[in-house]
This record gives sequence, C-alpha cells and structure tokens, in this order.
Amino acid sequence: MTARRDNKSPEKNVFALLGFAINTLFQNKSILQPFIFLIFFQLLILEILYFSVRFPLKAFFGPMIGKIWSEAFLHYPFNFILLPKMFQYTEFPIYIFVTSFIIGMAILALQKLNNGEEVNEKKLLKEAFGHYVHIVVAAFISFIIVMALFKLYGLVYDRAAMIRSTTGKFHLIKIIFTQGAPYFNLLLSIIGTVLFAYVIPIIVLEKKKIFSAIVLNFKNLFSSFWFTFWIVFLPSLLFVPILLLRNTTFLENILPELNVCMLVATIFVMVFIDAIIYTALSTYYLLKKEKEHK
Amino acid sequence: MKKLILTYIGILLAVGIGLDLADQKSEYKAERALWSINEHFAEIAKDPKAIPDATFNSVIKEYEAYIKKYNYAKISPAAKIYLGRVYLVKENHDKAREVFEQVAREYKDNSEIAVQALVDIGQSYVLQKDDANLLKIYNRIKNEYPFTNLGMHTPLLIAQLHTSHNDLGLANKALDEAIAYYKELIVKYPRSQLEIISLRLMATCYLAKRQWNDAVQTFMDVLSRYPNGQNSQDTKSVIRTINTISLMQLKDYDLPINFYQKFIVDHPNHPYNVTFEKLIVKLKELKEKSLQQKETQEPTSK
Repeated sequence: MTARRDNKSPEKNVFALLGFAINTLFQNKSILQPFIFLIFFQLLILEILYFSVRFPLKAFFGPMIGKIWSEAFLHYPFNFILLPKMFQYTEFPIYIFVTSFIIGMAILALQKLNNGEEVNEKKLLKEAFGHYVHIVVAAFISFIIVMALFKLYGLVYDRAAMIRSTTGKFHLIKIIFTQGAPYFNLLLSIIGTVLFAYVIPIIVLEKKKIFSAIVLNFKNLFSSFWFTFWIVFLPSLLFVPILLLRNTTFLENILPELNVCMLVATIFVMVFIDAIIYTALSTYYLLKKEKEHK
Repeated sequence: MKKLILTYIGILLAVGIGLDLADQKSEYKAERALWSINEHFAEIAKDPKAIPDATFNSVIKEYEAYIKKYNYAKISPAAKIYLGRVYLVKENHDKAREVFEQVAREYKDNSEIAVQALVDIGQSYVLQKDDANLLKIYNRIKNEYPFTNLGMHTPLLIAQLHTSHNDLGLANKALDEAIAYYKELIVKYPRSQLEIISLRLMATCYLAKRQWNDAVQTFMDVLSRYPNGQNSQDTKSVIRTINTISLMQLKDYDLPINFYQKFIVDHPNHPYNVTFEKLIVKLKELKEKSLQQKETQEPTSK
C-alpha cells in the first residue's frame, strides 16, 4: 500500500485521501477488524442497557435508575426516553478507554502494512497496549476540551433562549442558536477532534509520550490546519442525517423501539466516521514523513 | 472476517434471546402489550362516531385477551379499566358500568384502583346527565374510601355539582355539611396529614361560601400549626390566598402583616421567614399607598 505520486496524490487532495482511506479500510481486514470489534462492543453495551429495566438486570440497574432519574423510567415506554441518555453517559468512558485504543491499534496496523510487514493481531494488541496510558490520557484531554467547548456553547444557547423577540433579526438569531444546537455541537466536536488530530497517531507511530505528542501534534496541525480540518469535517457530515432523524419526534410516537434503531445507526455511523478520519489522518501523516525523509 | 462478524452477531443474539427468555411473566412485556392496545384505543377514541362497531369489538377482544394472558401483571387492572372506557366511548354505558363495578369489587382492597373505577362510573353518569346517580357515586367514594385524595375532596365536589346547576340552596347546604365533615376529621385525626388536608379543604369551603374571614383564619391556622407540614407548592398557594383575600376582600393589610410577624417570632429558623420579611415590607408599602389614596380622596368628598 503506497500512495500515488502524482497531482491527484492523496496528500494533496482531501477527496483523494478520503477515498484512499476508505479503500484501505475495506481492503485490509487488520485495520477494519478493531473497528468491527468496537461496533460489537458498543452494541453489547446498548443491549445490556436495553434490558436493564427487565429481570434479571433490573435487580442491579433498577435501584440506580430509580434514585438518579425516576421510577417512571423503569416502565415501558418511558425507558426509551432514558435509554439514549444512559448510552450517552457510557459513551464517555468507552471513548476514553476503548475507542482511543482501537484507533491506536488500527493506526499501528496501517503502519505495518505501509512498511510491508506482516500484521499479527496478538502482537499488534501487545504493541498498542504498550502505549495505552498515553493514548487514554490523550483521549481524556481531547474529551475535556470538547466538553469545555460544549459548555461555552451552552452559555450562548442560554443567552439566545432569553431573547423575547418574535420577529426580526434577533428572533432569527434565537432560532439559529437554539434549534441549530445539535449542529453547532457537531461542529464543535469536529473542531475538538481537529485540535488533537495527530496526537494518537504520533503516540503510536513515533512512540512518543503524551506531552511530546501534543506538542508535535500542534506543529503538524499548524502546517496543514485547513487540510486536516476538511479531513475531519467531510466524513463527519455523515452524522447530519442522524441528527435530522433524531429531531423528528413523530417516529418515537409510532413505535418507541425506533429509539433503539436510531442508537444502533448512530453506533455504526460514528465508528465508520472515526475509522475513515483516523485512517486518512494516519495515511497523510505517514506520507508527509516519507516525503520529509526523501 | 466473515467468521468474526458471525461470531459477534451470534453473541449479541445469544445475549438478547437469553435475557428475553429470563424475563418470563414479565411486567415489562405486559406494559408493552398494553401500550400497543391503548394506541389502537386512542385512535378510535379520536372520532368514535366515525368508527364501525366491528373496530370497537376488535379492540374489546384485544383487551379481553390481554386480561386473560397477563392476569398476573400489576398493570392488569388498568387494562380492565380501559376495557370499561371502550364501552364508554362506544356509549354503551350500562356495559361500561358493569365492567367498572367488577373492577371496584375485585380490587376493593386497593383504594387507588377501586376509586378510579368508581370515578369512571361517575363519568358514565356525567355523560348521561344523571346527577342523582352521580351524587350516589360521590357519596359511595366518601363512605368507602374517605381518606383517598378523591374521597377527601368529594364533599366539596358535591357542593360544586349543585353550584354548576345553579342550585344555590343545595350548594350552601352541601358546603355546610362539608365544613362539618372536615371539622369532624380535624378532631378525630389531630397532628396528621389528614388534619392538614381537612383544614385546607375546609378553608376552600369557606371561600366558596364567601366567608372571607373564616377562610383566611383557617389558612393561617394551617401555616402556623404545620409550618413544615406541606410541600413548597402548597405553602406558596396558601400564602398567596391569605394575601389575596386579606387585601382584595377584607381590605385589611394588618391581618397578614401581624400574622407573618408572629410566625417569624414563633418559628425563628423557618426557611420561609425571608419571604415573610419581604412580604411584610411590601404589605406595609401597599398599606401606606392605600392610606395616601384615601387621604387624597377624602378632602374632595368633604
């Protein structure tokens, strides 16, 4: 797997790079397998949460749900109102402790394929685990930054909600910032991902520790900020249909179980987006390094 | 790769099927099944006159099958009540009452369910404009389930029924009977939640009779005897009523001012004291304004 050295070479063109990343992903099972495991793991968590209001899991989850939220959520169909929230809370530790590690594994696999080496899953796991602490810290820092950006947006949202105008430009501002909240949050999470785009690839590929990786990340980022931004932004647009569907509440009134279908779709889309982004970023990083050495 | 994906799918299916099978005779399954039937009922209830009998009968059969299958479930009584309501919507009031009566008999030891069944029987009489039988139901709730929320309100509801038919004589008589009834409960159950509720309902009766002073004194009684006996919403409602009646009906600013001042002295650490201090200041300002207005009016009238 080597990049083409022509005007349409992946390191010059975002679409070419993304196309290359998708091809690489689906043609090399050693890169795809960790993400498939991630999908399975998240689906398993979702399944456990779905059954958390039913015997026998209710014995464990019931008192917790009753205390933190309400006893009402232990009954059909109100459990489907709580399910997305509970799943979202589990996503935070999953992202920090599992997803980031999976991404690290996939990046290592990509490096080995690029070097023409054989990919052994057990050795890959062991090698990636050697950087586990740094990967987790990187994911945690990135998560904190994104949450901080969400909080900042929350202040803007609260201020917009206080606008009392029902017509004119202020009303328009209110509509944009209140009803556009999910899309602004998506943009902020894209910005958060861009800011720390190369940290995990650097930790895994250059075997750097967390803080050196962050410094190198910003050096790489400033030399190609907009290219990196588009690599992250374009695949993330795949999440927009999910947001549009989520805001269509009539679906839940037809059948509350559709909430679960939405969450399953969200899992597949999010893992796919992460897979493309990090495959593309790592490919770009490796190609840049090759070019620098030449 | 295919083997891996199939393994993952297998694990997910095994976990799902296993957990589903472990949950036999489940409340959750009963709730889900009832929700589905209720959705059918909600559809036909939107415009019952446009719905053919066959559709009603199919919903009735669904409820009957549900009751048979999920008789073990805690939610099963709700299905029986919904069955009665289908007959109500179908305007088969006799059959509806038959179903509700059976529920009231079967669950006579469960006041929540039994009272709901009786309320639905009452509703059938409301739809038939049969006040005589509606009154009988009110009295039945009051006699058989006196300490339920509805049971406590029934004496007041009887008075409201007479008022709605402009039977002011009967309404006043019912209010007097209600006041006597609540006074009896106050004596019988001192220092209890029943006494608090009885005091509040008695005050409401005084309001309905336009006996403003008695109403305000009773509300003040509730607050002073039970400073922590009510939730925040009820307490705010009592304070608002005291202020409104004192100012609008009795035109007496000193009544609430003196009451709040006494309350603060009697309950020095009460969380509402800050509110009462602000109220005292506001009431004194309003009293000043009112006196000034009177003074400016009096010279012209002389």
